Amino acid sequence: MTTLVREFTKGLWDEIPLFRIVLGLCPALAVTTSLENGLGMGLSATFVLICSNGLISALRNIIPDEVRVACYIVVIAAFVVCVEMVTKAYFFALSESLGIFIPLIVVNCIILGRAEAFARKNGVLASLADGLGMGLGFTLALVIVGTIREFLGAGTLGLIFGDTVFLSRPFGFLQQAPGAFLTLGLLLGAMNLLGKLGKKEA
Amino acid sequence: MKNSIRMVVVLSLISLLSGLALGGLHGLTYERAQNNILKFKKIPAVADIYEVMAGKLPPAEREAIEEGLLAEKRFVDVGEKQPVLFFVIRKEGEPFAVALENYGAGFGGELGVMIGFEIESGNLLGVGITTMSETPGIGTKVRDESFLKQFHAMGKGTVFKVKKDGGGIDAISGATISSRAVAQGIELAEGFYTTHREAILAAIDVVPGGAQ
Repeated sequence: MTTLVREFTKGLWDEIPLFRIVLGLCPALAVTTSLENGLGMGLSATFVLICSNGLISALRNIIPDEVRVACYIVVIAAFVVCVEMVTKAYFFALSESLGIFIPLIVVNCIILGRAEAFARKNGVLASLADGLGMGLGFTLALVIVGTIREFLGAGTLGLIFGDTVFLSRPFGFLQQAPGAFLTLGLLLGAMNLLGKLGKKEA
Repeated sequence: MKNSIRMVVVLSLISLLSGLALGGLHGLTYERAQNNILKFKKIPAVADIYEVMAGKLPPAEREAIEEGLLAEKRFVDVGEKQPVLFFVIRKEGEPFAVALENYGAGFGGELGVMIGFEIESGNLLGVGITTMSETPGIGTKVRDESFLKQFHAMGKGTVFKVKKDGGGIDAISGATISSRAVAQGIELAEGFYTTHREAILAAIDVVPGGAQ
């Protein structure tokens, strides 16, 4: 049980995808113009990650080593297309704002990375826990970046406060790609600083 | 040898099962997704064209118009694979224009254009953009009022090509391909409308007359 918890929590801090492993940058930078987009993208990726981790782990003794990556891609792509079809039918606005980045979850390094590095060597439960942790860690990171960029860049937080405008003259630059890099860089720095301080105390 | 057979079998089975599952899900979600496209893409484009005729509407009124346009959905069967969808735009209750959609090849795939034709004159009433996956901030400018307003009441004799290609449409600088896609969509729709005008008008019980 403790190992399961451990597999789950490592994704939230020690190996939090965006900030520690620095994987999955492309969607992270592109869609985090708002809290809502970040959350939607994170949850979509989490769903795919949990499902693909679980299934790949369940099939790990059946899939021959030589074609494993091809099998992983098929499994991952199938789940991604599921997400795409469901968002188009039930969350149309979200699918419009995420656009091409939903299909692109297929090539999100985190997902293939977890399949290759974790799911194929571990049991189903551990893989599910790993997927959930990593997915939520990714979501958390996207939500943080999205919140900062939306609040400072557009002056709103549409998901929670509707049309309320907090800043009348927002830093529009944060909504652009360079703003994404800046936000991410500062967050990485802050995380490293926190990590260092934590170590000194311990 | 045995090993390679296993490779083929496992990969094929996984692909087959994934394909079947996706096919099933597609069947379950397709209709809803199409409805979303109708409601959030096509209808607003028709409403844009309606506003060319009636002037800009306040949000509440526009909502009512969009609701009403949903009921003005018609189909005309001209022997293509599927009956072709179009919308009737009414002025004081009488059919004033019909709007139909066509597609051009944009930078990021198909670009959907909704074109309104005035029934009486055959001229364009206006143009709205439905679905597209153009580059944000560049190709998506074809949605801008400043680009679309050139089509208001554009004569049916216009060559529906961008000026670079010898036509009468002002392209957006930096977004020639997207502008061209819009022109292509209009050209195709114009061709369709001219060819099938009578069938379309018969479908809404208008006796074809006026300028051909």
